[in-house]
Amino acid sequence: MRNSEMKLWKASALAIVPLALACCPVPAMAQAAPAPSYAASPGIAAKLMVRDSVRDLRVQSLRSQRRNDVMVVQAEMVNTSGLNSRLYYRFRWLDADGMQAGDDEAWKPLHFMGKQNQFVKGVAPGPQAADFRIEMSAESP
Amino acid sequence: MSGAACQAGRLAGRNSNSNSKGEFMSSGLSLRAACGAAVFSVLLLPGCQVMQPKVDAPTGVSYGDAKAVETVTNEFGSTDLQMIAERMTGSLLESAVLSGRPTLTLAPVRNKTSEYIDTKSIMDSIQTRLIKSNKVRFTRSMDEMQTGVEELQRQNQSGLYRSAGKAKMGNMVGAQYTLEGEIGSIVKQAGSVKDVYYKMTLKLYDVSAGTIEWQEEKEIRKTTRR
Repeated sequence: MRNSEMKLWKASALAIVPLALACCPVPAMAQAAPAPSYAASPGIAAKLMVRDSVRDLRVQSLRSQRRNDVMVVQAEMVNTSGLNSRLYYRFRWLDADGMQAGDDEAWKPLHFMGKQNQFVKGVAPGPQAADFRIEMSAESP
Repeated sequence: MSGAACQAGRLAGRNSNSNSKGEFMSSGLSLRAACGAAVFSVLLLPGCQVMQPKVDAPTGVSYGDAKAVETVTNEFGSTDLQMIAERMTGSLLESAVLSGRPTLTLAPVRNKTSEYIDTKSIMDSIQTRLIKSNKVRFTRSMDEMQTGVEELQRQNQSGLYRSAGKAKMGNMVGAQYTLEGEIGSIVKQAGSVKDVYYKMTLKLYDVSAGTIEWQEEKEIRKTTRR
């Protein structure tokens, strides 16, 4: 009786494990996290630093290229709401080792009309910049 | 830091007390340790006072972010200066005219607005960014020339300097390009609404050919409603 009970327990446990795994949140490596509301994709979200909230604004696309050996980035931002909105943003530039390249940029205000798309361009402070982040805030910094 | 100093001071004080009771006085080593601890505690105990790295007065003065958006009034402000400098520098850096690390110099920027604007400060910000990019070299501007000439004359004509190592006359590098520009504004007011529009234009002239090799402008609109 004891042997058969043990077998039954083992069989039940083996059956439960896959169910439990299916219910648990899957680690990031197994499944990519969904993009936050302010970014069109997780890849874009990885380049954004959102201080608090950017309300209904979303970064739709990001492009970068090197011109005259300097990194140039263009971001397309969209106001998904029908109401006017204001964004404060700045670019942060990083060198190949992840260290900040150049000084902090000034915060720049950007006004959006309802449902408006805008392109924002940033130029790196020099050839040493190899990566970037866009810092964004809906409140005045 | 001061907390660690206090802790060390207390430990040192405890050791010196136990030495005074004669518990470890038999060894010369412990005597030296006791002296060391006493000196250590005397040096570190003043650090136990709670000190703040500021001198304050109840006047409401506080430091802020120099890069923050400033909208105190709609006159020309720090954010305008910074946005202009960033736009001009970015546009110049991505332009092919800067390939080959050319030599530039600054010419005065005309202020055609109705208010006082320190245009030299705008150009200094642009120059700082361009020099830090390492894509250009700058020569002395007309404003800065007198100081350079005086130093050269001091080294070459005063008879005070030995010839080895002194700066020679006639070795200055002439600029290939000059950065020239102007800033203008349009101000309109109707009732409680005041609208100010600024436009700064910057041009890069080839000195020998007299041609414009690059040009950029930055527009800023500021509206105040009372």
